[in-house]
Amino acid sequence: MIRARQLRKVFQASVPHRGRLAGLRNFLAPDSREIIAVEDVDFTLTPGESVGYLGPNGAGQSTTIKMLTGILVPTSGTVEIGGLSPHRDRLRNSRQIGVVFGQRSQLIFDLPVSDSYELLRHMYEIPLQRFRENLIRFGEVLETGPLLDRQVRTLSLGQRMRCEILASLLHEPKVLFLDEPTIGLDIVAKDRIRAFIQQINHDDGVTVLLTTHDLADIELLCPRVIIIDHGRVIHDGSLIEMRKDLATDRLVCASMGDPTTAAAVAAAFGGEAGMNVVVEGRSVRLTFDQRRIGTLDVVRKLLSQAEPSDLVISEESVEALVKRIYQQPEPS
Amino acid sequence: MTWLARMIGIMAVSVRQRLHYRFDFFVTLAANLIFSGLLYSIWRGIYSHQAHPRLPIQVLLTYVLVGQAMNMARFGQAERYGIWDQFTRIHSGDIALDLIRPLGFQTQRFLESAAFFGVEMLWVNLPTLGIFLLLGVSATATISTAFAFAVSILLAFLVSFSINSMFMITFFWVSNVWGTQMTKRLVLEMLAGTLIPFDLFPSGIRWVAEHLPFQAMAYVPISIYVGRITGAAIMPALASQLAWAVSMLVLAAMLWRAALRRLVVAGG
Repeated sequence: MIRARQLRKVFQASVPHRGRLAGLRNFLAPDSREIIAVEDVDFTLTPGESVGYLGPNGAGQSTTIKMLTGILVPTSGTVEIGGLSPHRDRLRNSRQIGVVFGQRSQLIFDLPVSDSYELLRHMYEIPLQRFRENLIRFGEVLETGPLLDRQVRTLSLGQRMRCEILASLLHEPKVLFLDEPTIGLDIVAKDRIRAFIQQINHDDGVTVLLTTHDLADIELLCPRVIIIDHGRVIHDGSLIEMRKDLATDRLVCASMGDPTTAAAVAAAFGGEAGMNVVVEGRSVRLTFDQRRIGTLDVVRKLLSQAEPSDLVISEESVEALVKRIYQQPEPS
Repeated sequence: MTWLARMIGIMAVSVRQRLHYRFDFFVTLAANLIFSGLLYSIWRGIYSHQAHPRLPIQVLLTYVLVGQAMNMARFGQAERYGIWDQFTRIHSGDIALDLIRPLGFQTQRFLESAAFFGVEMLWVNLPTLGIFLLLGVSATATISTAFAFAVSILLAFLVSFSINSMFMITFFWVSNVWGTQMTKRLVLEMLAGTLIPFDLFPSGIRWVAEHLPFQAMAYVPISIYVGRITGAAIMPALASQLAWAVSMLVLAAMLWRAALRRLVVAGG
């Protein structure tokens, strides 16, 4: 459904001169330098897939989305959506894609929501019958029914975002691009939007490409994750495998009877290589890589020292995992 | 036919958008009347010292007031709606949202502008003309002149739309919209012939003004109204207006296409 091959995008950015007469030189002959936003990005999405596109701020996700929607022309490489080249067949491609930019609004600010939908109905030439059915069907989960007569300017962010998502789907696109759809929303609003995205992905088979900084979105919606950093894909695979391969850290947290016992236990683990020990009052937190130190060995040793009143063993959270991936050094 | 229904449907939403700011219309109407009063007094003042005027005073005043009523140059309908909206869209990057629609960018802008032109004609321009007629400004000599005038105004809108839309391309580089806007308005008002009738220009400048596209925005329709262009001269005048409209629309479309290509290639 979506194919990106050797995708590359280079921008020209101006660089200020420094030193003598810098201001004048900047005005007369500004220097520019190339900034590589996206480099060698390759991926394929099959119809009906739901993929999370992750990366730290400025990693190149938005640039990729803009190339996939035809708003930007790649410097080199090819993009194909349902057999069309987005920037060459921009108008035809626009009929098969829906786009939501979390930071922008496609609704008409001064008018009731229904007027924006009316405009889209004509733009996309949606038959009236289909249009009405879609409004009702999508509106059920998004609960947009009561919002249709409200002016866009009076909507809360959560309400507006639900209306934006409905707007992007009225013409029944095969592919939906969501660029940070849950940004700034409360938990209830997020839940409703997630439930809806799940529904259109499962029931309608819409291919979804989602960028977000909220990893709960990814955990709930996207079995597959592509991580991009400094413009390059650094991970592409299922979330479960990513966890298995990378979430190797384990945390053992034990509560002891009193602070003295806790300190004694900590001291017993203190010398071990690859073991991170933290004592907080009566509790001891041990963090280690389970490939190097067996979890069971740690627990056995702990129990041989003292009898904890509580014991919790946990795996690294996806958030900590992604943070670790983001913090990998920049390739030179 | 479905194509027409689609275009009308899109325009209808734009009309609703404009009608939302009803107060705007009253302000424009009031501004129109104030400017007209001002020009009226100035021309009266100038003419009271003229022994042999080039134009009879009644013709001159009708020319100036009809020009103000139709308001094609200074606060032209084709410019006002688009300017701020377009400027903010370009500078905020919201222009991206226009590029994901299955309708050309320039077509979208034209439909919005045409809707605004229609609304404003009904709410501001025709009422102003009505008021002037009640105050003693002459009507067109014949019904067919009035008809030719109406056709000419429609063509003038097309020229006005394309000139303003070319002007909007500068927003990719300029951040002082107000300044460029004022400059453009002054130039347009001189060259469109709404401030001073071409008949009063020195012959060299007049020749130049008559061969630029701007005269098709106001000079032609107003001259038809007052009877300076009359009879057999009307058809050629309308034809040249049409030629200007078509060529300027094509030019504007080409320039926008190039500007957008630059945008999508270079990024905003």
